[in-house]
Amino acid sequence: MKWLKKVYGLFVEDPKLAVMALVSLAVATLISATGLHELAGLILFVLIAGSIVVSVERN
Amino acid sequence: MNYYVLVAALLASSVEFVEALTIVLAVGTVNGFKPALRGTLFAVVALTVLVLVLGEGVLRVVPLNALRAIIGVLLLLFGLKWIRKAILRFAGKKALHNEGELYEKAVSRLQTMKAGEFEAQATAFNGVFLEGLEVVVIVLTMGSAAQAYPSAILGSAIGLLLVLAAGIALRAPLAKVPENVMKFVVGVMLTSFGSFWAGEALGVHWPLGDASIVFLIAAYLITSVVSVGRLKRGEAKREVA
Repeated sequence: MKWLKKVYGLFVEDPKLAVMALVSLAVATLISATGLHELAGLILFVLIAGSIVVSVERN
Repeated sequence: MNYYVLVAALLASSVEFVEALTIVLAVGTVNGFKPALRGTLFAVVALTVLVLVLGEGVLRVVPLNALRAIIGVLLLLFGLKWIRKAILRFAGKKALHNEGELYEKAVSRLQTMKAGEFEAQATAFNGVFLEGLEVVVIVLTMGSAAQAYPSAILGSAIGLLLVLAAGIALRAPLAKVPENVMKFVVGVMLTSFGSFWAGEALGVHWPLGDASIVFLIAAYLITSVVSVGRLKRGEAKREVA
């Protein structure tokens, strides 16, 4: 299990930021599935950038 | 040649190699360079095997679109970790990375340990392997997502040669390398690549194709700089109050 923790630590420092990023990807996928493929890109960027801001301000 | 991948791999790998060099130098100074270099060699061999096995295995087994989605998500998480740390460092919320200080700490730890040759070798191995693992992640994720293994490997190899040359010439930790700035840039680049590839694999159409990466880099850079400014202003207001 120790190695699993190491691998997890390699990618995640703030679990909430990781969750927000995954949710952002899910939202972009849903928007893209409705046919708005280019809008999905813009929404993805806005959500990820917002997640970064929220994460550092919450620190 | 994919120059985005080459530059990102070069910068990210150089930062990790500088950190590994600090540990190897500390072991070499306290316990001699034989165990330090032996530990380094074993770690490099282990990492090379890992890249070959994972790189070849993953490319042959996993379909490209699924691979891009998985790799994109991993790269995005990896980049977000770097970008967050960099913002907090530049805003003064986290101590700046100082290679000279880390070297002194490692040397005093090794001196108090009174480590034998095997422990010294193991310390060098651990340091190089753990720092190198991040290089492996960068090479594998960017190499496979952009189908640009040669660019990713070349970028990392140039980084290794530069750091090695500087380390051999100076025989001191590379404290003057602007590591914090490099980490900031790499965090922005990895987050941009991650967003681009994960998004593309999940059905997003980027308006300008690959050129959208440049706009993502600029937009994430602006977001990060604005965040640093906001955090600094918030801190200044708190101090005044």
